Amino acid sequence: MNGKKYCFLLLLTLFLLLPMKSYASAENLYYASGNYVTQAPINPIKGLTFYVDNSAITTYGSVFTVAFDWNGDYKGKVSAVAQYPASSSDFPGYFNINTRAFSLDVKGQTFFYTRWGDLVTATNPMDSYSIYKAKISINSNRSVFNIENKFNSTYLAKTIRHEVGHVFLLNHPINQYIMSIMHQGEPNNSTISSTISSNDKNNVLIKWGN
Amino acid sequence: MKRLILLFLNLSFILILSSCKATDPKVAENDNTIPSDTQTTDVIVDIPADIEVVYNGGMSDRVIYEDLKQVEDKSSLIIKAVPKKNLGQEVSTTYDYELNKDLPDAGYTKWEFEITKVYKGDVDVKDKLVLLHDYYVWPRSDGKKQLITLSSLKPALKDKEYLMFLQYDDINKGYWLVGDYMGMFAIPTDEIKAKIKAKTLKQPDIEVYDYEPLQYLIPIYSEVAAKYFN
Repeated sequence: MNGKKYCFLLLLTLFLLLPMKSYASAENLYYASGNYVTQAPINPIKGLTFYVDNSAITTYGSVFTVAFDWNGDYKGKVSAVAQYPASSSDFPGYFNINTRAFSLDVKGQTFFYTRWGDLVTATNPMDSYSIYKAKISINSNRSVFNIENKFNSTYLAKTIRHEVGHVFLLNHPINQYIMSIMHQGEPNNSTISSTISSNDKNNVLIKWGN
Repeated sequence: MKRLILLFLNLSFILILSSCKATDPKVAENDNTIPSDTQTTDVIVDIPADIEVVYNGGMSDRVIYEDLKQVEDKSSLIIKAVPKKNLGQEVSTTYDYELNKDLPDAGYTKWEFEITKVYKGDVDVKDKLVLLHDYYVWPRSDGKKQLITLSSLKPALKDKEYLMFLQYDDINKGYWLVGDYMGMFAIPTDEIKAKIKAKTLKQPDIEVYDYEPLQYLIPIYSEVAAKYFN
């Protein structure tokens, strides 16, 4: 093969591969387009701070520090997790974590509020630019974390990390084949990760900066 | 002597009373507990047609079923039923010390359904059950009402028949749908049936909010239609 043909084939291959690569990368991005308002005292860049209330501690104990697992070599971070019996009034502005009555298929839920305390209205609230604060609620019925009729703490920890991922404004990935904690449901050994994957960290890095 | 004893008893009584202060809820809240309560509305909550919808379903971690068998296996009750009476709603709130107000989060509306057909479970036609439907109506700070839904499923309509896959909740004394958009299906119209047959059915054709792609909706709906709506 002469040099010209080789160069042509190389360029052709690159031409064909590049769009595929960028397509695959786009599929692995699942951060939302919204942001916290500039007046918000807490956001992922300043450091997310949570207050775990009585209901959550009483039901699940001090597992909520798994929120720190999101921290990495990038700007977005969790900087504090205060817990009951510390007084909530000593931590005004901290994002509340509590337990609530939910449908039995729901493990956890994140809520976003505006400056006026209204729930954020948008097709996807995480695409909104009106976010002032967030709140995480975990199902108060411990049995929803049962796997084979036994309470599974890995599942609970996965859900807490998952909901904190929403506070970082990460969506559920559309690509069901990538490994992520942001997939919904019981963790498995393949795509639904119980820990924060490199894909998840990459999304925080791109969303909130290096 | 008797007078002295009576005087002493009166003084003691006054002293005991004065040492008991009425408990202000906000004072109690500062005593290391966060105020967290459930506000119950017993009246029927009608949903205005033009109400603003707050869809909160995209920020949850919930079970996703991949086929009808999984939905059926999880259900303790599979029935057709008609919503007859709105029994009010229960909304959980937390007092926010920064904004100085109660912020709503979880909540549900209770509906009484009348069973019209039983596929699975120990119930009979004409029996009534309570569905805990995960939506509620809440006023915004400007007073305008919002429909807060934690599910992709649109609220059930009174007197309309639905196929339902249910689980009983002992704590909250009612039935939940087993899954987000996989627990309740309206009886399809001829138009919907034709679309199922032609395999042209799309998410907006079904009574769900079209806010995020619901991966298993169409496959499961097609299975449901073939098994329960033929």
